[in-house]
Amino acid sequence: MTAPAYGLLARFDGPERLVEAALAVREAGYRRFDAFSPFPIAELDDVVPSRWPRLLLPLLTAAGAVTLGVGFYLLQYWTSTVDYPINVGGRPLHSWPSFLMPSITLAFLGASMTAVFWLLVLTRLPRLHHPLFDVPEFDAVTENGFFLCVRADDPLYDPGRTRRLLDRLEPGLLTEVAR
Amino acid sequence: MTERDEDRPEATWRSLEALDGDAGALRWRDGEFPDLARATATGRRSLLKLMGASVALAGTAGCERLPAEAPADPIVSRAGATPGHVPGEPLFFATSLPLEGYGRGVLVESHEGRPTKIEGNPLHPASLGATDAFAQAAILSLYAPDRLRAALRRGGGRRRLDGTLAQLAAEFAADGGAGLRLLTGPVSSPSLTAGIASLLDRLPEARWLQWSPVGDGNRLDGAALAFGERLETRLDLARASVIVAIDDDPLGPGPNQVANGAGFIAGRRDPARFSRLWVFEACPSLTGARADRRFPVSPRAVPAIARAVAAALGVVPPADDGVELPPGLVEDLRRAGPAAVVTAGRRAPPEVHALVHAVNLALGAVGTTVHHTRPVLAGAPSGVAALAALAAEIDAGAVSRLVVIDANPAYDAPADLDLARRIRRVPFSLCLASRLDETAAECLWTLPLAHPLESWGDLRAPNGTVGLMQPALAPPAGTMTALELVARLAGSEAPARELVRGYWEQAFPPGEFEAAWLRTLHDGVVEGTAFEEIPVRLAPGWEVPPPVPAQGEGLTVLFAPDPSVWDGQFADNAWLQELPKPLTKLVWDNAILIAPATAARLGLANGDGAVLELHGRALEAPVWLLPGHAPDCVTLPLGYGHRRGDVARGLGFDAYSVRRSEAPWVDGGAVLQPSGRRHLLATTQDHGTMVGRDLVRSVPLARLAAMAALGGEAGGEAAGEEAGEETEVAGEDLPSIYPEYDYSGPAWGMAVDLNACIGCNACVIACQVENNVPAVGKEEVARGREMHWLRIDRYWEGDPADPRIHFQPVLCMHCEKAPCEVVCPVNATVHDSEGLNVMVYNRCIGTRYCSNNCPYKVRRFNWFDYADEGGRPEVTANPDVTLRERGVMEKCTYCVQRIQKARIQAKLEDRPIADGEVVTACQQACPTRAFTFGDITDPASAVSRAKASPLNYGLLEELNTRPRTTYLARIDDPPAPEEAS
Amino acid sequence: MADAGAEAPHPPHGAIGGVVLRQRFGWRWLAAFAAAVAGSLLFVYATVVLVVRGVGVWGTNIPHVWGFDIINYAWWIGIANAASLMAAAFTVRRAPWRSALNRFAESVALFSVICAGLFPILHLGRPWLFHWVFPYPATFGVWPQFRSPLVWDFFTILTHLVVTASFWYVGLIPDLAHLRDRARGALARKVFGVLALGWRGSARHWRNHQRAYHTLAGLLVAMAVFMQSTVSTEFAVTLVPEWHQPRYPLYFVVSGLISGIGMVLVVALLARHFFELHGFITQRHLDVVSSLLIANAIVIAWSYAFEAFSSWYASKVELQSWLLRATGEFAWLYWGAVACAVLAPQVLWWRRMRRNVAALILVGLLVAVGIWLDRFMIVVGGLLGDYLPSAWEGYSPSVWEWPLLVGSIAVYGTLILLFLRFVPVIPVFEVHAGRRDEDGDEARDEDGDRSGEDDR
Repeated sequence: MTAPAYGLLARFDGPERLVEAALAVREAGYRRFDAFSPFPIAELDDVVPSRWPRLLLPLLTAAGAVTLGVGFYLLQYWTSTVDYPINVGGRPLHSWPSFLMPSITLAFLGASMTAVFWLLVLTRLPRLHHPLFDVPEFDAVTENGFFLCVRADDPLYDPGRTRRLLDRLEPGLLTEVAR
Repeated sequence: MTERDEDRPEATWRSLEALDGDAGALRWRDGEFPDLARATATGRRSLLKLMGASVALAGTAGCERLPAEAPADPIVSRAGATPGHVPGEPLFFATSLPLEGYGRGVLVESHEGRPTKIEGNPLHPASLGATDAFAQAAILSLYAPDRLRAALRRGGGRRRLDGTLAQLAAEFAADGGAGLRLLTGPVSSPSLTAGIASLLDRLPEARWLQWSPVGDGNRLDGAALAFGERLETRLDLARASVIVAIDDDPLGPGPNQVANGAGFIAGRRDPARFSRLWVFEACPSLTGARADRRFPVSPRAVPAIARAVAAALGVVPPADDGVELPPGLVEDLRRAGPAAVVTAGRRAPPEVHALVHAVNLALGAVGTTVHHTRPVLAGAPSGVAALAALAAEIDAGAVSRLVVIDANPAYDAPADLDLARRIRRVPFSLCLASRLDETAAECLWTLPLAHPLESWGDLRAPNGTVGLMQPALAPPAGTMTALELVARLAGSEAPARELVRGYWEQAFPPGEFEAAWLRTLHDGVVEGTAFEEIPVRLAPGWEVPPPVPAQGEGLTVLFAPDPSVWDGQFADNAWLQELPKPLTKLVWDNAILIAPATAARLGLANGDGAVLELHGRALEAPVWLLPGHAPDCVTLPLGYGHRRGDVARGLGFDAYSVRRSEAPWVDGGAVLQPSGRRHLLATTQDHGTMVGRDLVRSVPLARLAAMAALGGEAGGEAAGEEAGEETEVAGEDLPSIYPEYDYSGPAWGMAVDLNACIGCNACVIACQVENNVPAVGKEEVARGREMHWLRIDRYWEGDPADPRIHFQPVLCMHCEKAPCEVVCPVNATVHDSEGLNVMVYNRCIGTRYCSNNCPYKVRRFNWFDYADEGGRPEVTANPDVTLRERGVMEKCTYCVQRIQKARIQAKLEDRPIADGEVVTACQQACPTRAFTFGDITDPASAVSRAKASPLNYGLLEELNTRPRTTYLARIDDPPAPEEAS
Repeated sequence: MADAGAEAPHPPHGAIGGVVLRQRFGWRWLAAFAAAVAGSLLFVYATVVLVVRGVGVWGTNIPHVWGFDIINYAWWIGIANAASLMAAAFTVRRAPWRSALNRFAESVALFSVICAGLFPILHLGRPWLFHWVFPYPATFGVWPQFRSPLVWDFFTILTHLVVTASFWYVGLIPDLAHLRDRARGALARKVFGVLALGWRGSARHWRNHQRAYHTLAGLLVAMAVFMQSTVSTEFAVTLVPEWHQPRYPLYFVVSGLISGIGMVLVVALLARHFFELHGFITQRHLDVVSSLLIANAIVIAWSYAFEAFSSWYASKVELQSWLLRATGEFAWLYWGAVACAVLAPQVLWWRRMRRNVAALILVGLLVAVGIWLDRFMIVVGGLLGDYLPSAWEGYSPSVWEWPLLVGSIAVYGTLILLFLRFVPVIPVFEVHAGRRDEDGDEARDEDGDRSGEDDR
């Protein structure tokens, strides 16, 4: 194994076993590892470490909503009272009740677009190629495969020791992933 | 047009476009269209296609000679008289337009040699600055698609005729005009009368007769009976305090409409002396609509009523025919005395007119409200009798040559005379006509008649005043006027201008002629030509018992000229065809008018086809239920069912086809039964009642007096409030959460006086002509897509058998708080600095949301490319007004182009715009001055003073849209309870 | 893995992907698809005629300046908002059984809003200028007029399209990955691979994905209600007596909702029938939807009653206007709406009806028809009794309006058919997750077992 590896990939049969494995790896002090499953597993949220606070995404979304909503209100205000003031039906130039309607709508738009945007940023997607895809068995991850991958760039990573650690967890499959 | 070729009597006749090898016209005829939009066009476009063709033709014709390039015919005009006239500025020509031979003075606005608008001539007694609907539409008939532009020979196609006419003149002269009959329309023109006279001198054997299917000859014959001589009768309604119209329609269309309307309203502006109008009539008329006391009576009862009135005033011994006059009538007449006037209409027999003349004389009205002068129309025999005589002569073979000038007897003669066939039997027949009409089709030769706007001539107003006719544009080569033809036949080669000028040269004292001539051309009227009033006295043994109209079972039939196409001469005019008839609101059609009760009895509903059988002749036509129509009689509007004319053909039914020469106006013994067919009738107003909403408001005369009394002390408005009367007419001002915009400059507003509106439609069509509003055709109107910016709502109130009739002109209200503007997504309709609700055509994307939110529904939408389809021939377009593209909204602009003109003028002269300087098209055309327009920020302006009246109210003011257009409530003179009983 | 579907521990799981990956099209689908495409072409033709000749080809006039164009718009947008609301509400509630209906609802919403979005553009007198509604520095120097509900609508539709689409797509990513990994053909692998954006189902992915998904769902719930209210302002802010009604926002929401539910029900049942999804869409779902329909119909009944009352209470003008609708020329449409939208769902009180697929589909369709009639009564009927009787006028759709209705339904059908065929109609990962939750949970167990049996 001269080529630098991406990490070690282990397959477990069933979500519970995956969670146990993840816990074990974490207790062993590893940080740069990740678990893969066909469906979200709530327990893993606390096990697999995350760099971002839980509420980051909702907060960013709210920020997006406010930005676009307020921004659009200001646009309306500026166009109808500053840039091109004109008497429309004898209504006040600054007809705030009317201006609120599209502003709120735009707030929704802003929220959804930021939500999607940050989803992609935080998940580092789209990324069409990834070393894990070179592992043929990894296909099962969207069907019934439960994987755990300890990455080589983890300070504690050592091909031998890490492999032994994982072996003890009796994986269905244990293989090194090339970078 | 192929489908139309079968109903041509002769295959050799081809359409005008075929004769006139104009490429554009041919394209239209063959139905090859420039783009897909037209290729997929529906039948709706048939009319518009034709009008497009007319543009093509006019384009070629109009370019032949513009006045400017024709030094031969210098045209002197009001504006043009000023040297160094700026191109682009309109020229105004003073001229006269004929109707029933009488002249109506007009000013023709012309841009670069193209007439675009017609206004009244203030100096002319029959206009006083206003016009009727017919005059407004005259421009379009210049460009009638099937106007003749070349001489035609039956079966022969085009010919040049110059030589031929000379030969004819010689031939005629050879045998003194033996067997020559000259048939003209009614003639008032002094020069033409003289011309014909000299022709007849030259041809002693020849005879001249005049023919109009709707002539008013009975009135003159009545005078002949009463006074021993045929006299013109003219009413001065301004001075009348009691008016009794017996089957007469002085406010209705006709040569006198404008003057009568103005006079009538003048007599009703001041509540102190408010004339009272009694009307006996079978078919509701404009006069009946304004009546204070209206009585639907069968025309059979008319003679008896006239006699009863006469008897009640002791003019004739009472007759025991058991006629009961309504209470108050006779008292009114007695009280009014010289200020009273009784009048009978063209349907009434001469004997009835004789009675009426006698009554007026007895009342002392003659000289105040009634004026008798010598006849305005030429003395040649006229009327059905003359025509019948001609028919007899033709049968007797006594007529070898017939010359028909500007008359269409083959179409509009009574059916039993069957002139179409008879004219064909005359060996030589020559016809001077503007179109290949029914008569032209029968004549051997047809010469193209010049349009009045292209003609030199002169016409007498009803009071005798002569109005000169001068061309506003050069006539297409080959066309000629009646005067020219007559001169040619008399062997003269002089051009029309010389003939007219020559005639008047003798009329003026020598020396002063040139100056007088120029002044006359400038003013349009010849000074001092009004007729002297002739003192009258009853001729001995004048009284002959009025004949009892044809009795018999079945329905009584009335014939009436149509308010839009008159006797049929305007049937080819799309603007008039699309002008909603004042009472039925029908367009592009006529229908058998019938009382709702009678229709119910016969099991007929609006639009149901019915077969009318009258003395062996029958016609199938739709019926239209007309509230207020007398029961058991039907009215047949004349002027439709043409067999010729590209626009007119096939519209409506031909009432002449059942008209009999022995009973041309009122006939009896008709049978009407459902035919089972349904007809598509296009009407612009589906719903006739106000469903209990106070849209048209009115105030009883009595209360008004009280209001005016208070008003006398302290300004109308204050008075209104104090008296608390105002709340009766106008609602109180509602608060608004919206800010007030203050207008530094003028703020335009309008007041419409419902008390002055006689529903004559002049404003509607004036607006259409001024603002380039297209005609869209019957199918589009039937779909509810008429484009008129100004409409007149007509409401029935009360018992359908005898309802009160309301007219309400509705145009854009220019609301301060305009609902339409708020919903426009693109700022295409907004307020301008003077508070106008403006429509920005090029910004409009056509959501039509504004129309949804307009409570007055005055907005119009270009569903198709009407402007481009010839719905409005570009050649007639007002260059100051945008032609609207497909898919954009449009609506009344308060004639913003006129405001703009005034503003520029004022700026040039560095002064504010004066009150009354801006005159909207509707305002200018209105005979009764019902519209007041001006600056509402200036308390002294006429409009401000009008709006200060306690009668002022806003339509739907409860919506608080703050309309700039407000209404002055109509003043009523309701019968007192005991009278009503 | 030739037949992974068979191997998989959870057969139905593979069955869903199988629909996309293996099952042949079948003549029924092809026939339906052909018909739908033909209908869509009709729509295109009608549109060409419209643009070439002008909106005059419709039966519209003054005062009825709006016809099928806005009726169809109001109808489709109602379905869209309702379906979104349904999907989002399920998601937010995290109802365990929701997964079966979720994607149907999301898809119905997405495709309806696409159909709805066409009409506001087509109905313009000059459709090619619709972008003037968008605020951009134009040479005119003029900006849009933001007081106009049409501007509000423009942004409503735009937003609705974006939010619904992202909700739909985000929910779809893991399943696309599933298809990527199951697909045999190289092309399919590539296509799904790209669409899946390289999803690996890592814990981080799932964490953010679930948050984003539920955030969007939350947004959608609020949005759907707000959007539908905005649509109602298009009528409510006007002066037209029958439109100027404070009850309109609520009324549009409830009446839209029922049509959306009906539409979801129909699509789901058809899919269940043709793709044997009985394991997923169970009687339980049908009962839930049925009770929703019944409840909704009752609310609508109330709002019809209230409308009558308020018209009588408000003013003579409004009463006359309402009477013209309920007894006039278009009365049959008014009562048709009542019959279809209010009475038809009441049959679902009977258990037998709820178990009868044909009956359910019929009710679903009737409800949709009823709401279309209701929209007709609003757009056309509302103007029957306007302020000036002189302006009262009739309206009858022209031959060029029907193709727009039929055609838009065909466009919708085309999209639905493509969806049924090329996208897992039921979220695979959620089904899978559902399985896991069931372990040890009696309540939901039987449900699962029954479906298990159904599949064998």
